[in-house]
Amino acid sequence: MAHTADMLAERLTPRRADAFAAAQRRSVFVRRLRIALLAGIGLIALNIVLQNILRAPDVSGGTPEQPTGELERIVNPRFIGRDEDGTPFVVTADSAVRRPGSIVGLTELENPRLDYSMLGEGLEAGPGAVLANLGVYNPETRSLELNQAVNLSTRSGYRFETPSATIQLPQSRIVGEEPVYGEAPWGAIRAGGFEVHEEGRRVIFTDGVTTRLYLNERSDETRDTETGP
Amino acid sequence: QVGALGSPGDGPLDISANDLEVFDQENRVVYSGDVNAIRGTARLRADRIEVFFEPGGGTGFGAVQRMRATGDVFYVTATEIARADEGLYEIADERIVLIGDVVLTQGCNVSTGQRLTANLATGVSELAGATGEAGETRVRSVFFPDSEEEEGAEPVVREDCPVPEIPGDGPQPFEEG
Repeated sequence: MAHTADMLAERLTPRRADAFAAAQRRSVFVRRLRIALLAGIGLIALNIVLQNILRAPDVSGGTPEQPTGELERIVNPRFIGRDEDGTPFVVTADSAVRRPGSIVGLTELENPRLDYSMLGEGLEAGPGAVLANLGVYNPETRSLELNQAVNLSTRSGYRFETPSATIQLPQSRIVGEEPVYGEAPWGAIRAGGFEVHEEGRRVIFTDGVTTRLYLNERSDETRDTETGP
Repeated sequence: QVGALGSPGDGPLDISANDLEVFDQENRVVYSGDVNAIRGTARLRADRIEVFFEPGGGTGFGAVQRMRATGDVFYVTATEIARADEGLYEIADERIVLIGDVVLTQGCNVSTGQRLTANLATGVSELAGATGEAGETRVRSVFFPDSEEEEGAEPVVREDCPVPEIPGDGPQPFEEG
């Protein structure tokens, strides 16, 4: 390769020879530059792979490291979301606790409250009303599980007292599988379980139902005195 | 006409069942599974009972308007048991209509027909047969004259008369809050 270049140089005039040599030097320089660029890209890729390996969590059955011992406690927590129709809801509580080793995302609430169109209005039933002593909010399924002294009221005028219930926010549905005492615009109910669908427009009571119907249209006062809490 | 079907009298209307479904916007609630409705001394028993409310009122539910019972329907008072396939109880009019294979038992007296209409307020009840393509069925009654008693004595209720068997576990009481 070099032999042919010398032969050419002899025949060319000196000025053209210089130009040819310069061109040759430039192509060598470009070739070296290309190699350096490729090497640089390789290094960057290698670095990215290494970073990922170093930072990846340990997923083999364990959970991400939690502050050991001390509970993770949040005061006045707020969880905001929307149901399937796009209606917003806000879950609040006195405090939220996440226990070490608990499933990521599950948060235990003390005195949970819920601001949501399906639930009732006013002081006793509105967004400020405490729904239960304890609750567990799962941000992934957007469900609010209520435990201990659950007291729920729907905007359509139904009230439920039960030991536990779950509000499935995406579908605006409430499900209770324990004995319930309920009050409706038309009477009072006791049952083994209940479900609230369609924002309270359809309510199902199951597992043995007893009811007392108001035979005449009642105003709110007479109803309260008639059947107690 | 047949003997009077007693009025339930006042008092709350308690209904028990296996399940209950509320259709809030239709002012209608549907009880299903061994349904027993009790008011005063009267009991209405069926496999399914729909209760219709008058619309209106502050809460969207007015007074109870009527009850439609289907499936092994029994209307039971202290002295009578009426059995039918369907029943319609109009609360305001205090009127009950029982339709389909009606059997009315009063002590030992038994009457059968296809349609029993009873005005619970006046005590007037009318039992009718059926006419139509399916043929004609007439009202039939069996009366047992009471044994000879002195004038004005209390009517002797005979114990040996067969009592119709009412299916299910019977009414469950409502425990107040």
